[in-house]
Amino acid sequence: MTNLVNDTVQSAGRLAVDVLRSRVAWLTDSLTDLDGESWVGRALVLVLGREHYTERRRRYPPLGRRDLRNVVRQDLAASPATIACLGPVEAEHCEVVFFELAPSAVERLPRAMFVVPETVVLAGGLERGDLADVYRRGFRYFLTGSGISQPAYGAVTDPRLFAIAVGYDADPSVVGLGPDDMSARLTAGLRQLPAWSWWQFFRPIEDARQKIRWQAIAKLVGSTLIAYLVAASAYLGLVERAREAELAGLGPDVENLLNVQQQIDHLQLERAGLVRILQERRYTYIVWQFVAAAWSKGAFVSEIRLMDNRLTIQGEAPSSTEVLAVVAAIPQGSGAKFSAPVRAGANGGEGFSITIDLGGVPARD
Amino acid sequence: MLAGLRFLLVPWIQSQSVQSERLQTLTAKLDRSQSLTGNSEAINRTHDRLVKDLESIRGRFLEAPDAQGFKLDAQRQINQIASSIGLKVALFDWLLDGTEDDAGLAYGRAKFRIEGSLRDVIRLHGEIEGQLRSAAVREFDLELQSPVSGPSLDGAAATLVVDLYYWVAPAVAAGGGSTS
Repeated sequence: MTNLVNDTVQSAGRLAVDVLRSRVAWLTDSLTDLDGESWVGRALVLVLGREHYTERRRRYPPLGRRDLRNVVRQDLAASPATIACLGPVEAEHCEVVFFELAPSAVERLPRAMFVVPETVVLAGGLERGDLADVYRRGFRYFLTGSGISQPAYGAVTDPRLFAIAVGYDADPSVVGLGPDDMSARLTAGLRQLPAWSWWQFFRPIEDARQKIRWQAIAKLVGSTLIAYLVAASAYLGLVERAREAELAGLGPDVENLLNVQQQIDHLQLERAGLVRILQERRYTYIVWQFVAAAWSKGAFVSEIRLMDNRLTIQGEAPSSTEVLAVVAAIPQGSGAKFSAPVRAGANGGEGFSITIDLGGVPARD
Repeated sequence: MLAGLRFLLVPWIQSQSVQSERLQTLTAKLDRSQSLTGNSEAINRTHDRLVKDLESIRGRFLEAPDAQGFKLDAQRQINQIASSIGLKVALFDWLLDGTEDDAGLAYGRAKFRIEGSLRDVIRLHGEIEGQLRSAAVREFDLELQSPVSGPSLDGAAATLVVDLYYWVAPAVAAGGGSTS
Protein backbone atom coordinates (compact mmCIF):
# COMPACT_ATOMS: atom_id res chain seq x y z
CA MET A 1 0.00 0.00 0.00
CA THR A 2 2.83 2.38 0.91
CA ASN A 3 4.64 1.52 -2.34
CA LEU A 4 1.49 2.25 -4.28
CA VAL A 5 1.21 5.70 -2.67
CA ASN A 6 4.90 6.46 -3.37
CA ASP A 7 4.58 5.33 -6.99
CA THR A 8 1.49 7.50 -7.42
CA VAL A 9 3.19 10.57 -5.94
CA GLN A 10 6.30 10.05 -8.07
CA SER A 11 4.21 9.58 -11.20
CA ALA A 12 2.28 12.76 -10.42
CA GLY A 13 5.55 14.61 -9.79
CA ARG A 14 7.06 13.43 -13.08
CA LEU A 15 3.87 14.41 -14.89
CA ALA A 16 3.95 17.89 -13.34
CA VAL A 17 7.62 18.36 -14.30
CA ASP A 18 6.92 17.21 -17.85
CA VAL A 19 3.96 19.55 -18.14
CA LEU A 20 5.89 22.51 -16.73
CA ARG A 21 8.97 21.64 -18.83
CA SER A 22 6.85 21.97 -21.94
CA ARG A 23 6.10 25.54 -20.90
CA VAL A 24 9.76 26.62 -20.64
CA ALA A 25 11.22 28.74 -23.48
CA TRP A 26 14.92 29.38 -24.04
CA LEU A 27 16.21 32.51 -25.75
CA THR A 28 19.67 32.08 -27.29
CA ASP A 29 20.41 33.06 -30.88
CA SER A 30 16.86 31.84 -31.51
CA LEU A 31 13.75 31.23 -29.39
CA THR A 32 13.23 27.53 -28.75
CA ASP A 33 12.03 25.14 -26.10
CA LEU A 34 14.53 23.14 -24.05
CA ASP A 35 14.67 20.48 -26.76
CA GLY A 36 15.61 22.96 -29.48
CA GLU A 37 12.19 23.13 -31.14
CA SER A 38 11.07 26.57 -32.32
CA TRP A 39 8.85 28.47 -29.85
CA VAL A 40 5.87 30.74 -30.57
CA GLY A 41 3.63 32.52 -28.09
CA ARG A 42 3.62 32.95 -24.34
CA ALA A 43 5.83 30.98 -21.96
CA LEU A 44 5.55 30.10 -18.31
CA VAL A 45 9.33 30.35 -17.81
CA LEU A 46 11.84 32.03 -20.11
CA VAL A 47 15.49 31.05 -19.73
CA LEU A 48 17.55 34.00 -20.95
CA GLY A 49 20.76 33.02 -22.78
CA ARG A 50 24.02 34.45 -21.43
CA GLU A 51 24.73 36.39 -24.64
CA HIS A 52 21.67 38.62 -23.94
CA TYR A 53 22.77 40.23 -20.71
CA THR A 54 25.76 41.55 -18.84
CA GLU A 55 26.36 40.73 -15.23
CA ARG A 56 27.16 43.27 -12.50
CA ARG A 57 27.50 42.75 -8.76
CA ARG A 58 27.11 45.27 -6.01
CA ARG A 59 27.36 45.03 -2.25
CA TYR A 60 24.86 46.83 -0.03
CA PRO A 61 24.89 47.37 3.76
CA PRO A 62 23.07 44.62 5.65
CA LEU A 63 19.41 45.69 5.43
CA GLY A 64 16.21 43.79 5.81
CA ARG A 65 14.94 42.05 2.68
CA ARG A 66 12.11 44.53 2.15
CA ASP A 67 14.32 47.62 2.66
CA LEU A 68 16.98 46.21 0.39
CA ARG A 69 14.43 45.48 -2.30
CA ASN A 70 13.12 49.06 -2.11
CA VAL A 71 16.68 50.43 -2.41
CA VAL A 72 17.37 48.22 -5.41
CA ARG A 73 14.09 49.24 -7.00
CA GLN A 74 15.06 52.91 -6.69
CA ASP A 75 18.48 52.17 -8.17
CA LEU A 76 16.83 50.46 -11.12
CA ALA A 77 14.23 53.16 -11.72
CA ALA A 78 16.22 54.54 -14.62
CA SER A 79 16.98 51.17 -16.19
CA PRO A 80 13.83 49.07 -16.19
CA ALA A 81 15.34 46.31 -18.39
CA THR A 82 17.46 44.95 -15.56
CA ILE A 83 16.78 41.90 -13.43
CA ALA A 84 18.03 42.15 -9.86
CA CYS A 85 18.77 39.02 -7.88
CA LEU A 86 19.29 39.58 -4.15
CA GLY A 87 21.74 37.28 -2.45
CA PRO A 88 21.59 36.12 1.16
CA VAL A 89 21.97 38.84 3.82
CA GLU A 90 25.40 38.38 5.45
CA ALA A 91 26.63 39.92 8.69
CA GLU A 92 28.45 42.78 6.96
CA HIS A 93 26.86 43.08 3.57
CA CYS A 94 24.37 41.78 1.08
CA GLU A 95 25.37 41.11 -2.50
CA VAL A 96 22.95 41.88 -5.35
CA VAL A 97 23.51 40.63 -8.88
CA PHE A 98 22.20 42.83 -11.70
CA PHE A 99 21.48 41.20 -15.06
CA GLU A 100 21.30 44.08 -17.54
CA LEU A 101 19.49 43.00 -20.68
CA ALA A 102 20.76 44.06 -24.10
CA PRO A 103 18.23 46.27 -25.97
CA SER A 104 18.05 43.67 -28.75
CA ALA A 105 17.06 41.04 -26.17
CA VAL A 106 14.31 43.22 -24.70
CA GLU A 107 12.75 43.55 -28.14
CA ARG A 108 12.82 39.78 -28.69
CA LEU A 109 11.51 38.77 -25.28
CA PRO A 110 8.29 36.78 -25.50
CA ARG A 111 5.69 37.33 -22.77
CA ALA A 112 6.57 35.07 -19.86
CA MET A 113 5.57 34.78 -16.23
CA PHE A 114 9.16 34.12 -15.07
CA VAL A 115 12.38 35.35 -16.74
CA VAL A 116 15.42 33.49 -15.40
CA PRO A 117 19.04 34.18 -16.48
CA GLU A 118 20.71 31.06 -17.88
CA THR A 119 23.75 31.34 -15.60
CA VAL A 120 21.54 31.31 -12.48
CA VAL A 121 19.92 28.08 -13.67
CA LEU A 122 23.18 26.34 -14.58
CA ALA A 123 25.03 27.47 -11.43
CA GLY A 124 22.38 25.72 -9.36
CA GLY A 125 23.60 22.40 -10.71
CA LEU A 126 27.29 23.02 -9.94
CA GLU A 127 29.26 22.47 -6.75
CA ARG A 128 30.53 25.65 -5.05
CA GLY A 129 34.16 25.12 -6.21
CA ASP A 130 33.32 23.83 -9.69
CA LEU A 131 33.86 25.77 -12.86
CA ALA A 132 31.84 25.17 -16.00
CA ASP A 133 32.97 25.67 -19.58
CA VAL A 134 29.75 26.27 -21.53
CA TYR A 135 29.71 26.20 -25.30
CA ARG A 136 26.83 26.09 -27.72
CA ARG A 137 26.37 27.15 -31.35
CA GLY A 138 29.34 29.50 -31.61
CA PHE A 139 28.99 31.03 -28.16
CA ARG A 140 31.21 30.11 -25.20
CA TYR A 141 31.38 31.33 -21.64
CA PHE A 142 32.68 30.27 -18.25
CA LEU A 143 30.68 29.93 -15.06
CA THR A 144 31.53 29.31 -11.40
CA GLY A 145 29.41 27.40 -8.92
CA SER A 146 28.70 30.71 -7.17
CA GLY A 147 27.12 32.10 -10.35
CA ILE A 148 29.93 34.36 -11.62
CA SER A 149 30.19 34.14 -15.41
CA GLN A 150 32.07 35.71 -18.29
CA PRO A 151 31.92 35.17 -22.05
CA ALA A 152 35.12 33.82 -23.64
CA TYR A 153 36.68 36.75 -25.41
CA GLY A 154 39.67 39.09 -25.17
CA ALA A 155 42.26 37.89 -22.62
CA VAL A 156 39.93 35.35 -21.01
CA THR A 157 39.73 32.55 -23.54
CA ASP A 158 40.54 29.67 -21.29
CA PRO A 159 38.87 28.22 -18.14
CA ARG A 160 42.16 28.44 -16.21
CA LEU A 161 42.54 32.14 -16.96
CA PHE A 162 38.92 32.70 -15.90
CA ALA A 163 39.58 30.77 -12.68
CA ILE A 164 42.52 33.04 -11.89
CA ALA A 165 40.45 36.12 -12.76
CA VAL A 166 37.70 35.20 -10.30
CA GLY A 167 40.15 34.04 -7.58
CA TYR A 168 39.82 30.27 -8.02
CA ASP A 169 42.69 27.79 -7.99
CA ALA A 170 44.76 27.84 -11.15
CA ASP A 171 43.81 24.22 -11.78
CA PRO A 172 40.08 24.02 -11.01
CA SER A 173 37.73 21.16 -11.63
CA VAL A 174 36.23 22.10 -15.01
CA VAL A 175 32.88 20.71 -16.12
CA GLY A 176 32.34 20.91 -19.84
CA LEU A 177 28.73 21.68 -20.87
CA GLY A 178 28.07 21.16 -24.55
CA PRO A 179 24.87 21.55 -26.58
CA ASP A 180 23.79 17.98 -25.73
CA ASP A 181 24.03 18.57 -21.98
CA MET A 182 22.17 21.87 -21.84
CA SER A 183 18.61 20.59 -21.88
CA ALA A 184 19.11 18.21 -18.96
CA ARG A 185 21.23 20.74 -17.03
CA LEU A 186 18.68 23.48 -17.45
CA THR A 187 15.84 21.20 -16.39
CA ALA A 188 17.76 20.12 -13.30
CA GLY A 189 18.77 23.72 -12.52
CA LEU A 190 15.19 24.97 -12.72
CA ARG A 191 14.09 22.23 -10.31
CA GLN A 192 16.74 23.32 -7.81
CA LEU A 193 15.92 27.03 -7.89
CA PRO A 194 14.74 28.10 -4.42
CA ALA A 195 11.33 29.72 -3.97
CA TRP A 196 12.92 33.09 -3.16
CA SER A 197 14.62 33.14 -6.56
CA TRP A 198 11.34 32.39 -8.33
CA TRP A 199 9.77 35.33 -6.48
CA GLN A 200 12.53 37.66 -7.75
CA PHE A 201 12.23 36.47 -11.32
CA PHE A 202 8.44 36.86 -11.43
CA ARG A 203 7.64 39.23 -14.32
CA PRO A 204 10.70 41.48 -13.85
CA ILE A 205 10.43 42.97 -17.32
CA GLU A 206 6.64 42.90 -17.61
CA ASP A 207 6.31 45.33 -14.70
CA ALA A 208 8.51 47.86 -16.42
CA ARG A 209 6.61 47.44 -19.68
CA GLN A 210 3.26 47.78 -17.94
CA LYS A 211 4.27 50.97 -16.13
CA ILE A 212 5.27 52.62 -19.36
CA ARG A 213 2.05 51.48 -21.02
CA TRP A 214 -0.13 52.74 -18.17
CA GLN A 215 1.39 56.17 -18.34
CA ALA A 216 0.73 56.36 -22.04
CA ILE A 217 -2.79 55.07 -21.63
CA ALA A 218 -3.50 57.50 -18.80
CA LYS A 219 -2.26 60.39 -20.88
CA LEU A 220 -4.36 59.28 -23.83
CA VAL A 221 -7.49 58.83 -21.70
CA GLY A 222 -6.95 62.14 -19.92
CA SER A 223 -6.43 64.09 -23.09
CA THR A 224 -9.39 62.35 -24.73
CA LEU A 225 -11.59 63.22 -21.76
CA ILE A 226 -10.55 66.85 -21.82
CA ALA A 227 -11.08 67.02 -25.57
CA TYR A 228 -14.49 65.41 -25.16
CA LEU A 229 -15.52 67.86 -22.45
CA VAL A 230 -14.37 70.85 -24.48
CA ALA A 231 -16.20 69.58 -27.55
CA ALA A 232 -19.35 68.78 -25.55
CA SER A 233 -19.37 72.22 -23.90
CA ALA A 234 -18.89 73.93 -27.23
CA TYR A 235 -21.63 71.83 -28.83
CA LEU A 236 -24.12 72.44 -26.00
CA GLY A 237 -23.46 76.18 -25.98
CA LEU A 238 -23.78 76.54 -29.74
CA VAL A 239 -26.90 74.41 -30.02
CA GLU A 240 -28.57 76.20 -27.11
CA ARG A 241 -27.95 79.60 -28.69
CA ALA A 242 -29.22 78.33 -32.03
CA ARG A 243 -32.39 76.93 -30.44
CA GLU A 244 -33.06 80.19 -28.58
CA ALA A 245 -32.62 82.19 -31.77
CA GLU A 246 -34.91 79.81 -33.63
CA LEU A 247 -37.54 80.06 -30.90
CA ALA A 248 -37.35 83.86 -30.85
CA GLY A 249 -37.77 83.84 -34.64
CA LEU A 250 -41.17 82.15 -34.36
CA GLY A 251 -42.65 85.38 -32.97
CA PRO A 252 -45.47 86.14 -30.47
CA ASP A 253 -48.01 83.92 -32.27
CA VAL A 254 -46.58 80.96 -30.44
CA GLU A 255 -47.83 82.21 -27.08
CA ASN A 256 -51.31 82.74 -28.50
CA LEU A 257 -51.29 79.30 -30.08
CA LEU A 258 -50.16 77.76 -26.82
CA ASN A 259 -53.13 79.39 -25.08
CA VAL A 260 -55.47 78.13 -27.80
CA GLN A 261 -54.00 74.64 -27.46
CA GLN A 262 -54.61 74.73 -23.72
CA GLN A 263 -58.17 75.85 -24.33
CA ILE A 264 -58.63 72.98 -26.77
CA ASP A 265 -57.41 70.51 -24.16
CA HIS A 266 -59.85 71.97 -21.64
CA LEU A 267 -62.75 72.02 -24.12
CA GLN A 268 -62.12 68.43 -25.16
CA LEU A 269 -62.17 67.36 -21.54
CA GLU A 270 -65.40 69.24 -20.95
CA ARG A 271 -67.02 67.80 -24.06
CA ALA A 272 -66.07 64.27 -23.05
CA GLY A 273 -67.66 64.86 -19.61
CA LEU A 274 -70.87 66.19 -21.14
CA VAL A 275 -71.08 63.32 -23.62
CA ARG A 276 -70.60 60.84 -20.81
CA ILE A 277 -73.50 62.37 -18.84
CA LEU A 278 -75.74 62.28 -21.89
CA GLN A 279 -74.79 58.69 -22.66
CA GLU A 280 -75.45 57.57 -19.11
CA ARG A 281 -78.89 59.20 -19.04
CA ARG A 282 -81.82 56.77 -19.33
CA TYR A 283 -85.44 57.47 -20.25
CA THR A 284 -87.62 55.91 -17.57
CA TYR A 285 -90.92 56.68 -19.25
CA ILE A 286 -90.50 53.31 -20.94
CA VAL A 287 -91.75 51.63 -17.74
CA TRP A 288 -95.28 52.29 -18.95
CA GLN A 289 -94.66 50.13 -22.00
CA PHE A 290 -94.07 47.15 -19.68
CA VAL A 291 -97.10 48.05 -17.53
CA ALA A 292 -99.27 48.34 -20.64
CA ALA A 293 -98.09 44.91 -21.79
CA ALA A 294 -99.12 43.44 -18.41
CA TRP A 295 -102.51 45.13 -18.68
CA SER A 296 -102.96 43.60 -22.13
CA LYS A 297 -102.90 40.17 -20.46
CA GLY A 298 -105.67 41.16 -18.03
CA ALA A 299 -103.33 41.94 -15.18
CA PHE A 300 -104.33 44.20 -12.31
CA VAL A 301 -101.23 46.18 -11.32
CA SER A 302 -100.99 47.21 -7.71
CA GLU A 303 -97.50 48.66 -7.45
CA ILE A 304 -94.70 49.85 -9.74
CA ARG A 305 -91.19 50.59 -8.52
CA LEU A 306 -88.10 51.70 -10.46
CA MET A 307 -84.76 51.84 -8.69
CA ASP A 308 -81.21 51.57 -10.08
CA ASN A 309 -82.65 50.86 -13.55
CA ARG A 310 -84.54 47.84 -12.25
CA LEU A 311 -88.30 47.84 -12.69
CA THR A 312 -90.58 45.87 -10.39
CA ILE A 313 -94.24 45.33 -11.27
CA GLN A 314 -96.58 43.74 -8.75
CA GLY A 315 -100.17 42.69 -9.34
CA GLU A 316 -102.59 39.88 -10.07
CA ALA A 317 -103.42 38.23 -13.42
CA PRO A 318 -105.31 35.21 -14.72
CA SER A 319 -102.01 33.80 -15.92
CA SER A 320 -98.85 35.25 -14.43
CA THR A 321 -96.64 33.32 -16.87
CA GLU A 322 -98.38 35.03 -19.80
CA VAL A 323 -97.63 38.37 -18.20
CA LEU A 324 -94.00 37.38 -17.76
CA ALA A 325 -93.80 36.18 -21.38
CA VAL A 326 -95.22 39.42 -22.79
CA VAL A 327 -92.95 41.74 -20.77
CA ALA A 328 -89.90 39.55 -21.52
CA ALA A 329 -90.57 40.02 -25.23
CA ILE A 330 -90.08 43.80 -25.05
CA PRO A 331 -86.55 44.44 -26.44
CA GLN A 332 -85.84 47.48 -24.23
CA GLY A 333 -85.75 45.24 -21.13
CA SER A 334 -83.77 42.19 -20.21
CA GLY A 335 -83.66 39.52 -17.54
CA ALA A 336 -87.39 39.55 -16.85
CA LYS A 337 -88.20 37.11 -14.05
CA PHE A 338 -90.42 36.49 -11.05
CA SER A 339 -88.87 38.11 -8.02
CA ALA A 340 -91.25 36.34 -5.59
CA PRO A 341 -93.25 33.12 -5.62
CA VAL A 342 -96.51 33.24 -7.56
CA ARG A 343 -99.41 32.99 -5.14
CA ALA A 344 -103.18 32.81 -5.33
CA GLY A 345 -104.57 36.33 -5.52
CA ALA A 346 -107.45 37.81 -3.54
CA ASN A 347 -109.60 38.05 -6.71
CA GLY A 348 -109.03 34.47 -7.85
CA GLY A 349 -106.07 35.17 -10.12
CA GLU A 350 -102.30 34.66 -9.63
CA GLY A 351 -100.41 37.19 -7.60
CA PHE A 352 -97.06 38.00 -9.18
CA SER A 353 -94.00 40.19 -8.76
CA ILE A 354 -91.82 40.61 -11.89
CA THR A 355 -88.49 42.41 -12.20
CA ILE A 356 -87.00 43.69 -15.48
CA ASP A 357 -83.53 45.18 -16.03
CA LEU A 358 -83.66 48.48 -17.97
CA GLY A 359 -79.92 49.16 -17.87
CA GLY A 360 -79.43 48.94 -21.62
CA VAL A 361 -81.96 51.55 -22.72
CA PRO A 362 -80.15 54.85 -23.34
CA ALA A 363 -82.00 58.12 -23.74
CA ARG A 364 -82.33 59.55 -27.24
CA ASP A 365 -82.63 63.26 -27.91
CA MET B 1 -4.65 64.95 -9.57
CA LEU B 2 -7.56 64.23 -7.22
CA ALA B 3 -7.97 67.94 -6.46
CA GLY B 4 -8.09 68.61 -10.18
CA LEU B 5 -10.77 65.98 -10.58
CA ARG B 6 -12.74 67.31 -7.61
CA PHE B 7 -12.58 71.02 -8.34
CA LEU B 8 -12.34 71.11 -12.12
CA LEU B 9 -13.63 68.02 -13.86
CA VAL B 10 -16.56 67.15 -11.57
CA PRO B 11 -18.09 70.67 -11.61
CA TRP B 12 -17.48 70.82 -15.34
CA ILE B 13 -19.29 67.55 -15.95
CA GLN B 14 -22.12 68.59 -13.60
CA SER B 15 -22.56 71.90 -15.41
CA GLN B 16 -22.70 70.01 -18.70
CA SER B 17 -25.41 67.78 -17.29
CA VAL B 18 -27.47 70.83 -16.27
CA GLN B 19 -26.84 72.44 -19.66
CA SER B 20 -27.91 69.25 -21.40
CA GLU B 21 -31.20 69.12 -19.48
CA ARG B 22 -31.82 72.78 -20.29
CA LEU B 23 -31.18 72.06 -23.95
CA GLN B 24 -33.60 69.12 -23.91
CA THR B 25 -36.32 71.33 -22.44
CA LEU B 26 -35.57 74.07 -24.95
CA THR B 27 -35.62 71.59 -27.81
CA ALA B 28 -38.96 70.15 -26.67
CA LYS B 29 -40.37 73.69 -26.43
CA LEU B 30 -39.04 74.54 -29.88
CA ASP B 31 -40.48 71.36 -31.40
CA ARG B 32 -43.85 72.08 -29.84
CA SER B 33 -43.76 75.70 -30.97
CA GLN B 34 -42.82 74.75 -34.52
CA SER B 35 -45.57 72.17 -34.54
CA LEU B 36 -48.05 74.78 -33.33
CA THR B 37 -47.08 77.40 -35.88
CA GLY B 38 -47.09 74.80 -38.63
CA ASN B 39 -50.60 73.71 -37.69
CA SER B 40 -52.04 77.04 -36.59
CA GLU B 41 -54.94 76.86 -39.06
CA ALA B 42 -55.91 73.37 -37.97
CA ILE B 43 -55.63 74.37 -34.30
CA ASN B 44 -57.88 77.38 -34.74
CA ARG B 45 -60.32 75.30 -36.76
CA THR B 46 -60.40 72.65 -34.05
CA HIS B 47 -60.93 75.30 -31.41
CA ASP B 48 -63.86 76.84 -33.29
CA ARG B 49 -65.41 73.45 -33.91
CA LEU B 50 -65.13 72.50 -30.25
CA VAL B 51 -66.69 75.78 -29.14
CA LYS B 52 -69.64 75.15 -31.45
CA ASP B 53 -69.98 71.56 -30.30
CA LEU B 54 -69.98 72.63 -26.68
CA GLU B 55 -72.53 75.37 -27.28
CA SER B 56 -74.78 72.78 -28.86
CA ILE B 57 -74.35 70.28 -26.04
CA ARG B 58 -74.63 72.90 -23.33
CA GLY B 59 -77.96 73.96 -24.78
CA ARG B 60 -79.43 70.72 -23.48
CA PHE B 61 -78.82 71.75 -19.88
CA LEU B 62 -80.31 74.57 -17.83
CA GLU B 63 -78.26 77.66 -17.11
CA ALA B 64 -78.57 79.25 -13.68
CA PRO B 65 -76.91 82.19 -11.95
CA ASP B 66 -76.42 80.22 -8.74
CA ALA B 67 -77.52 77.04 -6.99
CA GLN B 68 -80.34 78.60 -5.00
CA GLY B 69 -81.75 80.35 -8.03
CA PHE B 70 -81.63 77.14 -10.01
CA LYS B 71 -83.40 75.17 -7.29
CA LEU B 72 -86.12 77.80 -7.03
CA ASP B 73 -86.67 77.77 -10.81
CA ALA B 74 -86.64 73.99 -11.07
CA GLN B 75 -89.09 73.55 -8.17
CA ARG B 76 -91.38 76.20 -9.65
CA GLN B 77 -91.20 74.50 -13.07
CA ILE B 78 -92.13 71.08 -11.67
CA ASN B 79 -95.00 72.61 -9.68
CA GLN B 80 -96.24 74.30 -12.83
CA ILE B 81 -96.17 71.08 -14.82
CA ALA B 82 -97.99 69.22 -12.02
CA SER B 83 -100.67 71.89 -11.52
CA SER B 84 -101.21 72.25 -15.28
CA ILE B 85 -101.99 68.54 -15.41
CA GLY B 86 -104.11 68.68 -12.28
CA LEU B 87 -101.81 66.94 -9.87
CA LYS B 88 -100.93 67.94 -6.36
CA VAL B 89 -97.31 68.11 -5.20
CA ALA B 90 -97.57 66.67 -1.72
CA LEU B 91 -93.84 66.79 -0.91
CA PHE B 92 -90.72 68.40 -2.43
CA ASP B 93 -87.26 68.04 -0.96
CA TRP B 94 -83.73 68.68 -2.20
CA LEU B 95 -81.63 65.70 -1.10
CA LEU B 96 -78.15 66.83 -2.12
CA ASP B 97 -76.03 69.01 -4.37
CA GLY B 98 -73.20 67.66 -6.51
CA THR B 99 -70.83 68.55 -9.34
CA GLU B 100 -69.55 66.87 -12.48
CA ASP B 101 -66.16 68.54 -12.65
CA ASP B 102 -65.15 67.11 -16.04
CA ALA B 103 -68.27 68.43 -17.67
CA GLY B 104 -68.36 71.67 -15.69
CA LEU B 105 -71.87 70.91 -14.48
CA ALA B 106 -73.61 70.93 -11.12
CA TYR B 107 -76.74 69.11 -10.18
CA GLY B 108 -79.36 69.01 -7.50
CA ARG B 109 -81.11 65.80 -6.49
CA ALA B 110 -84.78 66.37 -5.73
CA LYS B 111 -87.36 64.01 -4.25
CA PHE B 112 -91.02 64.84 -4.69
CA ARG B 113 -94.38 63.14 -4.24
CA ILE B 114 -97.35 63.84 -6.47
CA GLU B 115 -100.91 62.73 -5.96
CA GLY B 116 -103.84 62.47 -8.41
CA SER B 117 -105.23 60.09 -10.96
CA LEU B 118 -103.08 57.38 -12.48
CA ARG B 119 -103.58 58.79 -15.96
CA ASP B 120 -102.26 62.18 -14.86
CA VAL B 121 -99.33 60.62 -13.06
CA ILE B 122 -98.34 58.85 -16.27
CA ARG B 123 -98.62 62.12 -18.14
CA LEU B 124 -96.55 63.97 -15.58
CA HIS B 125 -93.83 61.35 -15.89
CA GLY B 126 -93.69 61.95 -19.60
CA GLU B 127 -93.77 65.73 -19.24
CA ILE B 128 -90.86 65.75 -16.83
CA GLU B 129 -88.66 63.69 -19.11
CA GLY B 130 -89.83 65.60 -22.17
CA GLN B 131 -89.72 69.19 -20.93
CA LEU B 132 -86.89 69.07 -18.44
CA ARG B 133 -84.17 67.90 -20.78
CA SER B 134 -81.54 68.06 -18.07
CA ALA B 135 -83.55 65.85 -15.73
CA ALA B 136 -82.62 62.23 -15.08
CA VAL B 137 -85.17 60.16 -13.14
CA ARG B 138 -83.28 57.93 -10.73
CA GLU B 139 -86.18 56.40 -8.85
CA PHE B 140 -89.90 56.05 -9.45
CA ASP B 141 -92.32 54.52 -6.98
CA LEU B 142 -96.06 54.26 -7.74
CA GLU B 143 -98.67 53.46 -5.13
CA LEU B 144 -102.24 52.74 -6.16
CA GLN B 145 -105.34 52.92 -4.01
CA SER B 146 -106.51 49.70 -5.67
CA PRO B 147 -105.17 47.42 -8.40
CA VAL B 148 -105.88 48.72 -11.92
CA SER B 149 -105.99 47.08 -15.29
CA GLY B 150 -105.42 50.20 -17.36
CA PRO B 151 -104.59 53.94 -17.26
CA SER B 152 -107.70 54.73 -15.25
CA LEU B 153 -108.72 57.76 -13.24
CA ASP B 154 -108.23 55.86 -10.00
CA GLY B 155 -106.24 57.53 -7.23
CA ALA B 156 -102.48 57.17 -7.34
CA ALA B 157 -99.40 58.62 -5.66
CA ALA B 158 -95.94 58.61 -7.19
CA THR B 159 -92.61 59.40 -5.53
CA LEU B 160 -89.79 60.42 -7.87
CA VAL B 161 -86.10 61.05 -7.24
CA VAL B 162 -84.67 63.22 -10.03
CA ASP B 163 -81.20 64.64 -10.79
CA LEU B 164 -81.43 68.08 -12.39
CA TYR B 165 -78.26 69.29 -14.11
CA TYR B 166 -77.41 72.95 -14.65
CA TRP B 167 -74.54 75.16 -15.58
CA VAL B 168 -72.07 76.00 -12.88
CA ALA B 169 -71.57 79.63 -12.03
CA PRO B 170 -68.13 80.24 -10.43
CA ALA B 171 -69.59 80.79 -6.95
CA VAL B 172 -71.49 77.50 -7.21
CA ALA B 173 -68.49 75.54 -8.45
CA ALA B 174 -66.45 76.65 -5.46
CA GLY B 175 -68.96 75.08 -3.10
CA GLY B 176 -69.42 71.84 -5.05
CA GLY B 177 -70.25 68.57 -3.36
CA SER B 178 -69.80 64.92 -4.20
CA THR B 179 -70.13 63.32 -7.62
CA SER B 180 -72.65 60.56 -8.01
